[in-house]
Amino acid sequence: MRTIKPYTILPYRFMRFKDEVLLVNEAGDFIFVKNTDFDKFRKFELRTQAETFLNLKSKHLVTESNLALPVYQLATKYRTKKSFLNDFTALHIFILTLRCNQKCRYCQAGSENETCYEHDMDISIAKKCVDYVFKSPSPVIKIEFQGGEPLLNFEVLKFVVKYAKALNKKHKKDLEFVVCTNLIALSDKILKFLKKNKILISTSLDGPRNIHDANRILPNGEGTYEIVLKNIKRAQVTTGAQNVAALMVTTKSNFHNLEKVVDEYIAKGFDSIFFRTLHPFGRAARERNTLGYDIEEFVRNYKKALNYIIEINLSGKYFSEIYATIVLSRILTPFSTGFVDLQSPAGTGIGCAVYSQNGDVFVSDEARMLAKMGDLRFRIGNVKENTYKEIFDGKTLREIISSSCVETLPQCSECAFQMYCGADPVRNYYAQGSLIGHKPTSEFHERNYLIIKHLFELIRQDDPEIMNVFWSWITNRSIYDIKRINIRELNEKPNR
Amino acid sequence: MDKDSEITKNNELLLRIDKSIYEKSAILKTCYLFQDKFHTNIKQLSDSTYGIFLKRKNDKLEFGDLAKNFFNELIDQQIRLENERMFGDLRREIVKQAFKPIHYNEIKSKFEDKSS
Repeated sequence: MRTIKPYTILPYRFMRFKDEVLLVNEAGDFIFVKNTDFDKFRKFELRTQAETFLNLKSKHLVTESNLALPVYQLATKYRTKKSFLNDFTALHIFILTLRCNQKCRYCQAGSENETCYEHDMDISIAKKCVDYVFKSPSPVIKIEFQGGEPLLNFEVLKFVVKYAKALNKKHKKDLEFVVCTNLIALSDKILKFLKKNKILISTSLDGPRNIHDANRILPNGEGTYEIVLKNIKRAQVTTGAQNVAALMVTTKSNFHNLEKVVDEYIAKGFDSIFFRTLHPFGRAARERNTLGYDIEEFVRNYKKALNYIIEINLSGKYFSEIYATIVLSRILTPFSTGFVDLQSPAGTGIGCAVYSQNGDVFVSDEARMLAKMGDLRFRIGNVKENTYKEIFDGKTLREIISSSCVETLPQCSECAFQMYCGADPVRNYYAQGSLIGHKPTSEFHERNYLIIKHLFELIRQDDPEIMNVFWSWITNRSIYDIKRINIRELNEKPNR
Repeated sequence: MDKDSEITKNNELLLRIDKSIYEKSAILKTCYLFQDKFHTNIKQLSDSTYGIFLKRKNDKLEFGDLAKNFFNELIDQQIRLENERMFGDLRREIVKQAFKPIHYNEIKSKFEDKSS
């Protein structure tokens, strides 16, 4: 005899955490349940009045009603989570020159000597690139200047800004500029132009002097800490501290001292840090033995540093870790957080495009680095030779994108972290020989998996203080503001 | 070691899997997860049993709780397969609905009205 089931289970993925199981629905809503409740839930043995059942129901993991409504609601949530796909390419990276005035030990950009002017982007290519940028349907356009050192080709940078602004009078997009610079060549004239045109500055600071100077050096071997610090200060004073950000690369030099790097960032007026791992490209790949590390060890240090940052926040100082903030936003809010390095499908080409100095278009900066190493697999065209449609609707980009949906990849397709994670087909191809990659041996996968799992462990503890810190990062507010909001909500509750 | 697992003469861990409980797909998915540290070979030992041979990629690795962990993972993979059968269609329907143009005809007619 056929038994009638008391409820319908909606699609979910799961992962075990000691005595609890994490359940995540199709749209990324999650809940932890006891192992015993998980078994009852699967066997349709949960009482429909039980608290666990009601919690599962509120998270769209079960329904007692017709399926139409939950399917509609989950589809709406899913659409919201994936809304970063709506607008197509927003980030456009211009490689203004391959020339650089530094010789960093981990350089992944394939830089050339400062005097090799043949590696500069010229005005005609720059103009063509801007024309293509404005063909993107995205209402938001961010043009990011990179190199080499982009300030070494300042005249073309100026041209791009002026020409893009002129075109934007017609297109009326939300236009933003960022220059990724080591700040060595920063002059008053340049600074004035950056300020006038509201160009954000993204620079590099690896930590205190001994750490920074271990890898970020001039061609003559001298450290750059002093001049970089002086120019960070100048930039902060002239353009406003909020318009200057810094990035760091984790190497063996700062790997065991990430807390000291955090202290340095705070001392120099920054309110966030991004613990970025070493790329497997360029000089970084050749120097892997001296600069590289094991990912498990990286994550151990990352966790330690993250705890340190949480403590700093609990003492009242706002300071966030960017990677954790992105992942937490995905876990704790229903909103879309496009992040080209970690999304599904990957941001390669559809979230970000890189225009090289000779007009070649690549799907990511890593793809350009690969080309510099002789492999043109991810070159999707050239602005002088191909139409916009040929570049952005071509076979190469379609193949890359269709291979980067974690929903269909081995291991990822069943992973409970799927909605919060993403793929990197370029790195997979370079490190493992295929666009899809091999998850069990992928460092990219291991890093993301271990960090997301750690963040879930912290969420599972449900410590109100730590959750306040997480919400302050997500909403970019101080912990005092978050606490005030919590108290106000508590006071308002009886009136609801 | 119990009868479900043993260390072979070749210093491999042999796991015996009951084919009436676990599907081939669940076994393959489980083996895939252990490929970071082990070379894996699957053989049919009898009509009712598969044999999984796990060989360490690094001799310093201990087998330790490997058999228990493998079997636990195998159970979870089997659950995932059963889940997929239970609500895989629903999952695909949610994604299909999410990417479907919303009220396209309504929007279309609204704009046609305005332009006329």
